[in-house]
Amino acid sequence: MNSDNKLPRRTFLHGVGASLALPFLEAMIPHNELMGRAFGAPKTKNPRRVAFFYVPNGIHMKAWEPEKVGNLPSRLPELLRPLTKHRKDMLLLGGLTQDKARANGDGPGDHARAASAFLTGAQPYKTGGKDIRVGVSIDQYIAQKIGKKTPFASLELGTENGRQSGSCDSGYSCAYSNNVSWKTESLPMAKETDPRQLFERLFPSTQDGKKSEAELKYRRKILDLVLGDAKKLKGKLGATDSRKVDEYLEAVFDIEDRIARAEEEARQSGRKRRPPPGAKKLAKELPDSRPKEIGERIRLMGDLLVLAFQADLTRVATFMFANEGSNRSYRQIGVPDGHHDVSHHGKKQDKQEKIQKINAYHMQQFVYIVNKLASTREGSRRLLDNSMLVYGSGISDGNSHSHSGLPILMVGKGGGTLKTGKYRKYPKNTPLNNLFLSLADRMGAPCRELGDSRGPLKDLY
Amino acid sequence: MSSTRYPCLVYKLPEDDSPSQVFSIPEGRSVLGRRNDSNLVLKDTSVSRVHSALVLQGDRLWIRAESSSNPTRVQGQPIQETELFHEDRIQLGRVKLQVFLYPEKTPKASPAGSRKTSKKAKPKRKAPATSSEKPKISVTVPRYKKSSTSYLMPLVVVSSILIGGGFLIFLNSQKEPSPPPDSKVITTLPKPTSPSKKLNGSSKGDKKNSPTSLAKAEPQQESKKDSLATNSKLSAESVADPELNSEVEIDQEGSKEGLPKVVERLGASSASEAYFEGHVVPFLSRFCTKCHGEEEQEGDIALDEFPDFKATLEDRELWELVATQLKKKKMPPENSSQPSGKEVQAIVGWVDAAVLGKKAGDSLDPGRVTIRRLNNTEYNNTIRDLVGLDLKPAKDFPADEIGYGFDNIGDILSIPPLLMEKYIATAEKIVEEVWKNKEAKDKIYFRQPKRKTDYRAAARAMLSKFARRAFRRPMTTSEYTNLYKLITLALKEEDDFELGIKLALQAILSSPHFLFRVEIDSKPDDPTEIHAISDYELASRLSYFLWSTMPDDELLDLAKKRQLGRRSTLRKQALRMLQDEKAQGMVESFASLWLGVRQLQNASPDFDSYPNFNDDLRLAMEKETQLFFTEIMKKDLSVLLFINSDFTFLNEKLANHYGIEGVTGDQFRKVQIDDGRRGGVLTQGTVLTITSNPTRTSPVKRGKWILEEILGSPPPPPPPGADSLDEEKVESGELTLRDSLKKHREDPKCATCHEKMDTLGLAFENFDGVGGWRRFEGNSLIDAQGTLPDGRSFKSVAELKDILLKNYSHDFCRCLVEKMLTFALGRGIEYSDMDEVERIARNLARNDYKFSELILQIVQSDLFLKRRGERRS
Repeated sequence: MNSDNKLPRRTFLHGVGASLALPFLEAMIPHNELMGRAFGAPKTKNPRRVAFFYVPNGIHMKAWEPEKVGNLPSRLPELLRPLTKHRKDMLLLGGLTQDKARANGDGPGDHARAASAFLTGAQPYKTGGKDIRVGVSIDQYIAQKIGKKTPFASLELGTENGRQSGSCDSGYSCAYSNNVSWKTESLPMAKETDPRQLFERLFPSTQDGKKSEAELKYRRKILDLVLGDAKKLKGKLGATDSRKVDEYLEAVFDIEDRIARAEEEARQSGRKRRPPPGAKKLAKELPDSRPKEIGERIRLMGDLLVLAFQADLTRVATFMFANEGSNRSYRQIGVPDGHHDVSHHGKKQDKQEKIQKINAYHMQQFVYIVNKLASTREGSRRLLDNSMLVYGSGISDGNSHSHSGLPILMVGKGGGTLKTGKYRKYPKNTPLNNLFLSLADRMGAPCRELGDSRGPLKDLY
Repeated sequence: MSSTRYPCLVYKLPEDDSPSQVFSIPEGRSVLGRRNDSNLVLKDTSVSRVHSALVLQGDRLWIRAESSSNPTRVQGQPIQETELFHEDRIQLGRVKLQVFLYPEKTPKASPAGSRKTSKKAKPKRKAPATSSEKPKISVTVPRYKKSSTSYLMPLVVVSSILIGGGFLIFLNSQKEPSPPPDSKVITTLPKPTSPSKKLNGSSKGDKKNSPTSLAKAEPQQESKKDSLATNSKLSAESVADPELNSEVEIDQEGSKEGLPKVVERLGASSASEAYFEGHVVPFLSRFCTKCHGEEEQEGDIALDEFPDFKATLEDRELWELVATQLKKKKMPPENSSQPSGKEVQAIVGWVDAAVLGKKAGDSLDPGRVTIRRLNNTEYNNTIRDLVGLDLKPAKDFPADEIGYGFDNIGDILSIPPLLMEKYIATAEKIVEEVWKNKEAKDKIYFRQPKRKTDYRAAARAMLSKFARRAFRRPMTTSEYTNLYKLITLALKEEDDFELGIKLALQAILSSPHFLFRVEIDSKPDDPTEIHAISDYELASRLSYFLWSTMPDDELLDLAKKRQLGRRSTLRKQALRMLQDEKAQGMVESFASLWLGVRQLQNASPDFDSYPNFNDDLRLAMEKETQLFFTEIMKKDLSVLLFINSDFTFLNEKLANHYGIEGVTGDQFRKVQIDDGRRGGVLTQGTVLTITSNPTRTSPVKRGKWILEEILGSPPPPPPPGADSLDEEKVESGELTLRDSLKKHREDPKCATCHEKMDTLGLAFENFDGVGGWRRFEGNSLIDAQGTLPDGRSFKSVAELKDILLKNYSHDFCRCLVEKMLTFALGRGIEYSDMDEVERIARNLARNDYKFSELILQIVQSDLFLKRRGERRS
């Protein structure tokens, strides 16, 4: 495996315990939590899962924030109300900020930055194409640590392929507003947006699934061969070209890994992974192409996500309900206007109502997924108990493009590592990435630093 | 006369040939900086707007750095915050100041005085040898009342009448506490050494421009508040000064040499700085800083502050932008005063030489495109031509990201794991599909070996034929050897030669040499290594540019004979390719992205607002745009037809939508039009729909689209905090869109860009949000007339098109060349490409704007034929 393109993972772990120059916040955290021992790696029997859900253009915050911190009230704010029966599984986090989504001298482009900084905590480099660069996102950080335990290191889901026009937002390439998941600082993880495609990827049709040993051998040999080609080619290229070929190499390594793991698993258990019971039924329901209605698209993808978690095909996922800055019209719920257009509500009530309607519609789809996770058993628990769902946006108020006081909602108990049923409000400018450190820790992928993090978030447990 | 109040600072501005000046430090906080509302205004580009702050408490004085990027130095050391002591030296940018806390140590009579008496206080600088004796003029600064509306009440002491070059001192009386009534500032002014000469000397070059510049600038300023107007007017005068001063200085040093010699004498690096200060800065001050300076930083660009010369030179991006805007005549805006061609040349020349290090005789930099993977369209087309089956396997791939308006940009096309998985799985599926189709299979599997001894020869024949087309170059021996290993494996496992070939084909389709368009350099890391690409690489560039697919056998054969690079062959081939059916690839890639067909696929007009919009109509619009482009390409018509034409392509559905009679049936046909409404791409359903909101038209989006896609001058993004339209009133019918936009433009922040955008966009108001013709908006009759910022008026969209054709055809050609070149090269257009863009645009005009000429000029350009190693970042 070539090492030049690898993340400097070691640098994250380097000097653990040498807390000399730790910033203030970190020094406040109990030592064991910082080191990732508090919650340790989850047992393989009930592995923990993490999924990040992204909604664009901000949230109507007046219908989101409860009045008081502490225990969540029985009458939840309007937008959260559909989650009432999961109140005890919820953890609402207020006051978190994604500073790197702010201009910081780069001028306009808040939508592009909101999405690309959301899970990276890094300032995206302003470019329409050349030298695309932001940072590694938390899901990918975790996936690279624990991904080898499952057939898919991570899943990236979405509903929109992206705008088919030049720069999406004031000089930022569309790659920024279309992707929250970044494998390396320059490689966005393309999303699967077609439920049928995703299904076939997760549960290859019987013909594919029952590959003979010889067939697996052939495929491995082919991969070996093209890897050889790519390595040889890389040697002849300049630095930038060589990075592109690295993407190819890395991806082929991943596939090789997966084949090796499948073989190993088959050898050990004597049988192949079987799709969970719901899969067959779903296969029949899935349309041949993407359903037009976005809600249906989200729910189908959600079904598949739940299946993937259930079958332990992956433990890490991101799901963009729409791309950042999306101007989709939601006429099915009486909002024919473009989403982005109405998010610039200019404090006008009718527009705020419309934005709230869209927010509520997204929330309704999310609740569908939560319900599904809650009704799926895993051992003596619900699948939801072993999961951590993070739902939110990189923008709080769409009109002002604010990136502080972000709407961040967690659902799921993280295998009992989260104290749920609360609304916590953090001091101004607390980095959102602090939360991610805490989550990485709970996923058995301790992370000392990611993007602009300053240490794990307090009061989650 | 000396009533200087202590403590004080003594300082001198480097640009000024006046002697030192004195600033009396007020009790409390005072700000030092270039801003006009600073307590001590230091008009020098090296000083930040808010550079440092002083705090005086009793007899103790502190200084604090207020600029994070531009250091405040005390006794030579950069400081954050420190106490100041008597005779401490401060340096802000190039300006040197000295602290005097007590009177006894300061130079007698006038601390500002002549060099003789205050050597310490004087910043190091060669002073004019002749001006030893200077008249002393004392100016009393009167007290003024604090204004309630604005706390910026700069007090301007102008003494330029007295001296030749003239200089200004902006002194701002501190707000709190107000200065004592007897507060005085003593300023010593120099005796003009040779005023008449200087004036004459300077007027030669400036007479033409300065007066016009001022005259034109004034009306704009007068609209502002009085105090501001005075202020700006004065700075407008002062901006012309540095140039005068620099000439003055040369004169005073007893030299009548022109600048180059001075430059020589000063030595390379400082010479550039002198040149910069003497020529570039004054130019910027005259033409740019009004909008890109202290008051406004439009487009987030400021050209008034250059604290560090070295860093200034390193900011290639900024200077390339400046030079680009000047070269394209996009800046200064057309309604303000314009520099002469010579002046522009001088600045561009400076950028080329000093910033970019270009030398005369340097060959054209062909740039460097990042290795490109096939995008989804190219992958589909390539598979189609490679195996002869139109399988469109990429429909299941993740969408390609777009950069610079196109989806074939090397830097943007990446291979996420999801895609690689699909590549591998698809390779297998494609081979299976081929084996299912006898005809397709026979073309690839054409030599069934009869016995084992034939295996090698048969494999070689079949694989080399396939690989040559898949890799778009001959297969190498080692590649063959490796592929044969798969055949060996299949023979060993299942004794199946055919299976072995299938595996080898899968490997070829998964190879980086198939998935990437590889171009190899002998020295990939040497940016000076410019070379012609190989004939095979050229074949691929041609075919992916004009066809969005692999080269055909004719191209590959010419490449083999090394004839493709010949100009005549190249020309012939390009023309052949444009007439080939596969040129549809350019329509589906280039035209669809440029003219919004892809965007239309995602557009979602509101059903209630536009009940007649449906997928049939959407498809009809797409078809119109594509057929229109195809017509211009195939018939080799003028590219100006994109702006206006007397024909378009319609079927019954679209004709009805447009209100054009006499078209029946689903079939599209060429239709002559003379209604003064349609014609050209601007009034096609595609463009009109993608530039609208779901429920209404958006003149702003329409105007912006024209600026970006037709005129090639995209407006900068709106400044933060810019208000959006008062849509409620538009929707309730209280205001028309036009009135609402007009209201919006009252905000000067918005006016500059919106004036043009809105005027252009409003011309299309007779077209509704899906391109249907209408006469009313709500109850008001639509008014589509307007006056462009260049003063040209139009009454209808037809007249606007005429203006665009008559006066902006060059802008359009350049814009089209840039877009086409971006698409052809798979990279963004850079500063180094600009001259070539200009050349191609001119040649296009010279050749009747023929579409083929655009293509021929591009494929014969060194940008297309050559590449170089990578510049290390």
